[in-house]
Amino acid sequence: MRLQIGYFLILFAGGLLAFHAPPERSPQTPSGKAPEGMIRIPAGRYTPFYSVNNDANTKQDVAVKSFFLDDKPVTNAEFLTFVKANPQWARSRIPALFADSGYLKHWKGDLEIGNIQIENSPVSNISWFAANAYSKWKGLRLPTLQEWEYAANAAPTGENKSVKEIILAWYSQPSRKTLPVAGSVFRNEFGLYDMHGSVWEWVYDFNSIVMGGDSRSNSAVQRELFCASAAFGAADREDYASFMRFAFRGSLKARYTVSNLGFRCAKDL
Amino acid sequence: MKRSVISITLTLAILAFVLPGCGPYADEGPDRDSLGGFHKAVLTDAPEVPPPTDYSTTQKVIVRLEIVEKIMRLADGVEYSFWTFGGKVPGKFIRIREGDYVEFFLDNHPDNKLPHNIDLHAVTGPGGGAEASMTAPGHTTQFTFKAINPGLFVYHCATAPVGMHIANGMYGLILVEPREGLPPVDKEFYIMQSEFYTKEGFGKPGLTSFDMQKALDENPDYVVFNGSVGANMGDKAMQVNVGETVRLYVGNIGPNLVSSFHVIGEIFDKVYVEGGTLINENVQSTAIPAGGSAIIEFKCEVPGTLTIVDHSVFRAFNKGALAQISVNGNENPEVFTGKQRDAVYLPEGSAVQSITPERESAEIPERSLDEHLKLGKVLYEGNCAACHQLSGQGLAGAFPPLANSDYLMAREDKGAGIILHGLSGKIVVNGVEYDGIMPQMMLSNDEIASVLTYIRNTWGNQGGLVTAEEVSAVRLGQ
Amino acid sequence: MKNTAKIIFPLLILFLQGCGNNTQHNQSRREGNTEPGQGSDASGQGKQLEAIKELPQESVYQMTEEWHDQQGDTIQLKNLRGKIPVLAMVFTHCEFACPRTIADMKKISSEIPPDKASEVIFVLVSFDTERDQPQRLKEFAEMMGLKDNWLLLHGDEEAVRMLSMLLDVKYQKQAGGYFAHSNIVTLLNKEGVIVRQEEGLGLNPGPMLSAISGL
Repeated sequence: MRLQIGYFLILFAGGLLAFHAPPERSPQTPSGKAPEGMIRIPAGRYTPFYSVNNDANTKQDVAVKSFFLDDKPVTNAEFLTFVKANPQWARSRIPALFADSGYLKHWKGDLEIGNIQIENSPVSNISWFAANAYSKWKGLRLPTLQEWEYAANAAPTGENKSVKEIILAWYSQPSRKTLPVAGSVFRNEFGLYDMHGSVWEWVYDFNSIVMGGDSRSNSAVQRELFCASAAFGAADREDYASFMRFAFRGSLKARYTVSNLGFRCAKDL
Repeated sequence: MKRSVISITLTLAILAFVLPGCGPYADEGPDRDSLGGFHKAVLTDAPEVPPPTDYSTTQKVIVRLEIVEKIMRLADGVEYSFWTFGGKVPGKFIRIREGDYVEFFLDNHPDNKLPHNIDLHAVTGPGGGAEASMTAPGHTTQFTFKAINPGLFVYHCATAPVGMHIANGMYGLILVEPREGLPPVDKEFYIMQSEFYTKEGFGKPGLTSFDMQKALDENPDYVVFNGSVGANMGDKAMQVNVGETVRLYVGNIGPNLVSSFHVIGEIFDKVYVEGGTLINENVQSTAIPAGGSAIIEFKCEVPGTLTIVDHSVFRAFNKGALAQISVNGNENPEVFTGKQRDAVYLPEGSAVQSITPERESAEIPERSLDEHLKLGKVLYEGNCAACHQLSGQGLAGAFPPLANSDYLMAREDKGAGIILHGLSGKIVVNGVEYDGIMPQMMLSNDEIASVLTYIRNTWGNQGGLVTAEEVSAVRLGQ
Repeated sequence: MKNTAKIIFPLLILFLQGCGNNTQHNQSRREGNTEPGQGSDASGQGKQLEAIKELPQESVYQMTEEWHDQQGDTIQLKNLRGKIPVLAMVFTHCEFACPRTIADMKKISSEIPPDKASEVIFVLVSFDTERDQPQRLKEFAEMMGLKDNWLLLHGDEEAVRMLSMLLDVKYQKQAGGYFAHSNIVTLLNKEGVIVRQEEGLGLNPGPMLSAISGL
């Protein structure tokens, strides 16, 4: 147990990368008033799609506290500011531990987007680590899975379509060549833009759904592979839109980058 | 001597110690065959099938499938957002040999929105590989399996929601040939049946996509072979020559319906039931469960178009479950004659009417007695034998005999008038009275000449040759 | 006898290599980007030189979050550099899986070849940021009979989540202070790169042991 003492000195030797970006000036706001570009999401309850229930057939409401959430996904231009301030997150410098080889591959260079059309489109091809680091640099954090799902459940405004219909319509179209400008798809009743229909979004604890790659065995958690005190169950087995979102999260590892996966930031009140 | 014995004993003892130690360390699969080599699998799109495996040792086979989400034709004027294994629906046909090791790569294209995986029913292992092949967009996964069981197997995506991934086109077939191979045939085809559930309904033009409610109700708008309505119809029919043997590799993925697979105008000489080892023979329709398959063999004896249907028949004619095999070559009347008559059927009454114009042969071929006898036999068996019997003895009280018939042999027209015009009312044959109706037969002068020649020179009859000219004269009332 | 040795040793090497190769095929949870870490020099000088060298790109020791061990000492993961860690994420109030995972690790511990025994360290990182404080971890180690070559770590929620991301461990806090979590044992090399992961309970120690022998 004494082994670390000998190694303590090593820590302070040069050459190790510091992978914490220093926080930018944190948005100071009087309590309750949303910072610019963020929406105050009221406290409430909702039924999670996937949850740990003592009885997989009973739907369980979950309480979500009030929090702030970016009204739009983080854009390429915004992310470029972050990379400029924290060059260890540039494409050529990020270690393989924190992002796979697709990291920011749609940019022209380390510090250059190179396509004016996508500057205000959601940034994609970023790993969870990069999204998390960006959020911390901004003095913010990634929303939790529960917060994100709760916020994304709100009905669209000014449309006859339900959330599910927007999602299924998005799934049924092949990916566009370029992502739409952030904020151009639809707005929901919380005032949030493009929670669906543009990009998938990282959440802080995306790996909290204990399910395997084979969706058919997920209703009965394999005790050998996962320790859980109760069964997992989908609240609505006909909610295909949610199944797909959770399957997507289940396929990810934190270092993965995907060309239609972005993020937005959250903040405590 | 003694020393070397000790040495050998020691060596064996150490080996005995090391070898079992190796087992748990290596945790290898059962029955590891020695590898004879490796190669990249030939993959084909329906209805093509890769060539038979031409190796007899265990191989490592590298299979690479790319998943692409794309819009393609579902029916004329109708497009659908498909999810595909390899850019087409159904996915690539994979062909390997029993005992092979398959190194399987699954590429999920970076433009795709969804994670995908693959469950190959040929895999012995968790999820058929689904767990090991879960792949995020823009990533590649790899796993290896040993093909332990021979047979024809379905593969499909098993990512949640499974039904939707299947309904959108993610399936195909993998054939694991038995070690000794399959018997050679002339042509092989790949046919996959599946359903589509669309928002707009059958045939509504435009871009459509998956409808969840219809899928839950198991009420598809489309039931198709090879991914779209008419994928193998008309110009795109599968081509075969008369006399060739055909093997169909048929899969049904559903996602809901069981297929009543049938080929109109063929009898399956062999069916490898459910794609396995059991062979059934002389089958008309074979049931293929959703997520199952069948291997079907038959010989194409006559030219024409064979229509493939799901004989749950509203699917065929209202939802698209049709495909065609075009058989090219010469007619073979021994097996099939083509239409020989078409008359209004009157169960009662005295008139026998034709509803199509009489066939007048412009040129009358001259035939020898042997030719007429050969053709006449086929015609007799197809047209006459049902009543007058193969033996020409007729049926007592109903149909008069033709063998040694005083009535027939006495007629001046040699019987041609009866065939041309029909016959009703009382007649006496060999002293027995008959009172029935014989309909007019829609045969040409040449054909009537043949059938009469056959009748008048068989079963002990000795009536000589009847020529088409003689028949023609009777037809013209001369 | 000399002759025998000539026969046996090549054979032994052959068989051991055979085992080694097979285990590589079975690294099911890894993506094939494992890079063997630089071999470390046991001398103090060597360590200093090593410290100046950058960590491999895949090293989890690039994580800078702080932890507290069962003695209350503060450490970072890179303090483990030069050791061979066998690591699992657990929580001490777990009634089902974690005790079995620890038993699996003990089994590995009992079979480690003597020449590696001093290098291998068994690490348990707790999901339970609230209850598994250093004092509780110390009591737990005593209760479970975990010796000096076991390191039990408490971290804040952020550190635990970050590590779970790096190890591809899934977990979720449940009602009643329980955690649903994957059961994964991870072997790191001396530079903190994941060499092998085993998922499940009642693990066969063989593959881990042969992987350890190779480090």
